[in-house]
Amino acid sequence: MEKFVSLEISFVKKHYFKHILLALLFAILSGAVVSFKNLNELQSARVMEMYVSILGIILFTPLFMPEQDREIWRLEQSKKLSVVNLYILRILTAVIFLLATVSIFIIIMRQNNCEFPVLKLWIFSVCEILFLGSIGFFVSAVTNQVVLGYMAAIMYYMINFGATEYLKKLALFQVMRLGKYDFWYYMLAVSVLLFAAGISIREIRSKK
Amino acid sequence: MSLFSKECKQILKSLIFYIFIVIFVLYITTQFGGDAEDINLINKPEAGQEEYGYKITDNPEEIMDYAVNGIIYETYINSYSTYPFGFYKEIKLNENELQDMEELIYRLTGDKWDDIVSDYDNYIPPVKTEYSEFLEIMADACEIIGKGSSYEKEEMENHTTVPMTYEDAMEEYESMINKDHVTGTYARLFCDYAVILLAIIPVFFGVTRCLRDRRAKAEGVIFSKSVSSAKIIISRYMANVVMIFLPVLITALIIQIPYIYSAEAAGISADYMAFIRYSVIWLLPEIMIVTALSFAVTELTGGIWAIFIQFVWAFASMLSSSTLVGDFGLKLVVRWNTLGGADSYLRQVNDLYINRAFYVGLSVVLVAVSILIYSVKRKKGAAEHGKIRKSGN
Repeated sequence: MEKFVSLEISFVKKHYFKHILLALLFAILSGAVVSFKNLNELQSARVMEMYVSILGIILFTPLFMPEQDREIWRLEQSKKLSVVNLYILRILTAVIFLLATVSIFIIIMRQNNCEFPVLKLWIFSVCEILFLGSIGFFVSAVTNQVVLGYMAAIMYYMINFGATEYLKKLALFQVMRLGKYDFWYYMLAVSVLLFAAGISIREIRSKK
Repeated sequence: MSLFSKECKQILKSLIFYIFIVIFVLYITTQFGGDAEDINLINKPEAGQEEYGYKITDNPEEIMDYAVNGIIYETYINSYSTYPFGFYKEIKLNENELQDMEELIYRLTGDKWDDIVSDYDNYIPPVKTEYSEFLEIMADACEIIGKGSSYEKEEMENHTTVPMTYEDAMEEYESMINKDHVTGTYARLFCDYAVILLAIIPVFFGVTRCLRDRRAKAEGVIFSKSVSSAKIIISRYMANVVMIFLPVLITALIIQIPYIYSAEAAGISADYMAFIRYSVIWLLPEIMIVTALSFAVTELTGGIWAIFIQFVWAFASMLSSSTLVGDFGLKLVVRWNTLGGADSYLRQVNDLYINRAFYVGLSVVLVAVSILIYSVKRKKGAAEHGKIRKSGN
């Protein structure tokens, strides 16, 4: 376990730190871009779904950044250490940042007199952001190209501006458009599936 | 084989190219299905119809009426809606600012604020100013409220809509037949949809291309080639631009077919070149600038940061727009999200040309910057890994 933790710290320091900084910058800039005062339910959801959801792309897509260098990837494969555990630890780190950031946004909005069901919006936001992030994660995992991961996640986000009806239960912006919260479990399930599939396919490919 | 064709072949073999085609075609076809309802717009309006749709008005009196009603209501509840970056932002004024606002309303209506409030429900504001003075007063109001309010000149002039009359509808119809030749109006809508995706997609091509040598650990080998930096960067850049534009052009040619058939069936001569012309003027410069920016930033940083820069730029351009129809300025994402409006488009078309020419010029500058950075990196690479060979491949 100690070894995993030290590897995770090294990953954060050398590769992930810049992305965390970017996420922090994104959160800090929100004050200038978005209002957190006196919002109603749909307006609060708009902040979480259109603005905060981008954090999913920033936090989860670059988790395979070190392995962009194939030599590092091969070196990892040659060790006895389980790379699956390593990847899971990276996901957990990103999830912790995600939970913290979403909670901070929710608290700020509540303190500024916004009216919305706190727990519902918190759960939905976490699942929606996780889902968007898992798309980037999955594509970068199976292709080992982080750029493609960003492309898939950003395109999915953008396509939701005009084609939500085709995406059914996996469409983004459901709360701000329809006031519906009941899609969160689909998004959570698909996220878990994409994280698991991403790691599994990557592992199978790397052993060929 | 020239470097350009080698680059094109590389792109043809890349996964990103096929993902782009799938995303682009799916997006365009879901947005722009050529459904019967749209094609029915070719039908001539008939007198006595219940409604003929809405049009944006440029009538100063209608604009003033609408805006004055709005500003009185927002002052009454002391809550001003603004969209400084496309996201809703509520502004509440303090006592002093409210007094200033009430003074401005007095200048607009000639009525004291206390009198307005005392019978607010029945109050119909008289507008007692000339349009130029009205704009000055509203500019003062915008200074108090801040950026992105409904009282900015462009916002008022682009968003005040009124119902169309039969005559308006006929005029619109005639323009569609005689000026747009049917396909023109659909070509603008095609560009409006495509321009959104093309504000971001080329950045992935640019970043992928610029990082490919490093991923393949081939930088040193390429640095040592005798071919000039300008030739390497320009052929890579041109190949990416061409390979992104080709699927766009092919999609445009296919998409236009049902509209040409419908026009011909209705006895209207369609403009066969409209989709190509609009795509070249509207979409190609955007592909050029986004690709050029991705090259420059990726060569400079050696990382993926161009993706974030481009995402922010594209998003800000989309969300900060006060209208989805025209008002081109120097926006990256230029919109025309409506069918028809040929006269209005022709009045603004020079602004579109200036906008697109500006981005073509900027693309050239950014490609030159990329060449410069690449040359410096090559020299540095030569210093680190050995001399650049002077001759032969």
